[in-house]
Amino acid sequence: MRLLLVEDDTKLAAGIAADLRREGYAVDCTEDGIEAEYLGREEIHDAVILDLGLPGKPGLDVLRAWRKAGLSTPVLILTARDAWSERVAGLRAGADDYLGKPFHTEELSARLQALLRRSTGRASAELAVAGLLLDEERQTVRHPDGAETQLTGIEFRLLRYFMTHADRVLSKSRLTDHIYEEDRGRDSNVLEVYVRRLRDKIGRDVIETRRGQGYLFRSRR
Amino acid sequence: MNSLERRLVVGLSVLLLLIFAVLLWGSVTAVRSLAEAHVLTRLEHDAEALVTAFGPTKRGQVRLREGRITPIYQQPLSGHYFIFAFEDDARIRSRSLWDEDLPLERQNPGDVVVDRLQGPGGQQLLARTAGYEKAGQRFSLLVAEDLTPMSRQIDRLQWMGLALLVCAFVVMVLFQRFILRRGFVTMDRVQQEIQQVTRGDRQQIEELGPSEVRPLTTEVNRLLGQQQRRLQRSRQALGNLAHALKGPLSLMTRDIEAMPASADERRRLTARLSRISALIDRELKRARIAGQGPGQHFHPSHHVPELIEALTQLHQERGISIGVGPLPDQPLPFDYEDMLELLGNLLDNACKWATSKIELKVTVGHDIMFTVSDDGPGVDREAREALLKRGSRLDEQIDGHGLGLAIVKDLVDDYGGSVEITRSDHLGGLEVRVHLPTPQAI
Repeated sequence: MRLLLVEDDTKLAAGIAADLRREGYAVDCTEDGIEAEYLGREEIHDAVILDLGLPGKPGLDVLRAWRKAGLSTPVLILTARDAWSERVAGLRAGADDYLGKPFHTEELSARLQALLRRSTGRASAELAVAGLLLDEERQTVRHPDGAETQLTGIEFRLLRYFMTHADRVLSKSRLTDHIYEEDRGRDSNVLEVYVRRLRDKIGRDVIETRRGQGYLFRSRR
Repeated sequence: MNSLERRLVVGLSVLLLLIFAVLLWGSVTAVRSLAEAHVLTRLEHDAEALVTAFGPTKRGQVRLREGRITPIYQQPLSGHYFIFAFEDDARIRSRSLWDEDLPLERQNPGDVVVDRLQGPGGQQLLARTAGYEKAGQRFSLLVAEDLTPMSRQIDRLQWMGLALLVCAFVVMVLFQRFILRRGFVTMDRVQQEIQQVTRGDRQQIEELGPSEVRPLTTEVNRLLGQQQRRLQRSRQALGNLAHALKGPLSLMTRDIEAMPASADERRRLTARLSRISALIDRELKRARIAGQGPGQHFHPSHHVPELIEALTQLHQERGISIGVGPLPDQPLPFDYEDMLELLGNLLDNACKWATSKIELKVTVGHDIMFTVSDDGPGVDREAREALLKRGSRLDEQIDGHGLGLAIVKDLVDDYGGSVEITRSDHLGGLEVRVHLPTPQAI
């Protein structure tokens, strides 16, 4: 899962980004409204955390521009401006959630998870596909027999993306887009290595290789 | 005497009455003196004729030749009289005098005296007495004419003039009133529009009307605009301040969470920080209260559904249904942001506590009442009072009831209203009723 964090306070942004990375998200940061609008339009992010008071272009205008362009990425507004009139304006501009500052990290991550869950059409809080149960807190996977396996950061990101997009053909570039951040290495060979390691941990036949197309995570064996 | 119209009518009436009185008096006096001058000229001519008629006859006798006298002097009590008075007390009186006499002061030849006398039968006489010397005799001649018929005519003229002036007076006062009323129609409209601004039907008043009224409407508009801009500016500044303060606060909250300290210590620091940010929040929100005045007015049928939609989205994880009773269609004379803050906090609290259902009712009577009830656990009687006290919080875990209701209380106090917390009869949870008085009857 790759997130876009738009926050003009760079220190706070660095802190939030660090927290989110620890929870297994790839995070791109920007502090400028115009850059944020551009990055959002690339449609490689699974969710956006948006501050409203931004240099360049106000957050609400950025959000409206995205929605006008048909972008459906879920957006959580994280702002100090939390009067109810402002919340109503933010939600009407197309935000999916609104969190006032100061906030607790757990609350942000809980809301973010809920947002991502809703956007992938999942009803329950648990992520369970193909007999596998992903523990998003501890970044482990539980097998049908009850055994638990620890996952590395990238493995966790990859598996979560597969599980939230089960039964769909996912191209290598799409997978790298949603797993890596902007400036990290994005060699498709490296992805193949991670897919192989993941297969070692969860079983060979769950992730199917479609030659020339990418991979497919099967919800039923 | 506060009515401009009455003041103008009274002023005009006094002035008109004064002018008319002077006019009437002046014209009557002028006519009277003109008539008297005319009578006097006639008396002079008659005197000359009488003196001519007095002289020696062909037989050498000096006497008054009656044939040469105007017949009017022969008719009894005709109003035209003469008396010759000689040195030797002999008198010749006109036949018209009958057996009356008139007082006569002798004059030396060449002297003339004009006088008013009481004549026979109450007649008012104008008398001219002059001294003459003719045919060796010195005598005084009095010629008099009755002024009563002329006086009567002048009196009639005076009454007619008075009637005319009274008519003119009434017409002028009515006409002035008509013009004023027409002028004041503009004022009525300006007043109506200002009322509409107060009610929230419009933001500015139309700049119409005569040039005397237009500066007023322009000024009212300028003032309205200024107040709106000032409110907007101060809210903007508060938003910026909140932004500037809460960024570092968020950072500190995060830093504390990541601190290599005991869980106990972290909790203590977090609690302190929460207290600071709650205080900042409360003061900033208090400062944002616009109160009654200009600003965007609250339009329940418009703004409430938007708020409900936002709340439903924010609490969609909890799956709570918010029922809304019929909403009044007219705008209420309260600031839109204030009302959204009020209802937002009330409903947000309810969302945190409710099991599945919330109800909002907006009732417009002689005051305006918002009722928010939920089907949550509710609150004890004693705790209900504590809820409304400054910054008190019942539950630190679900932050809200305390701070949210404290802000609601601040808002309601500012609007001169009241808050009531009871148990909801039909939903079983908490019911909060807010009464806000309307600034004037709607």
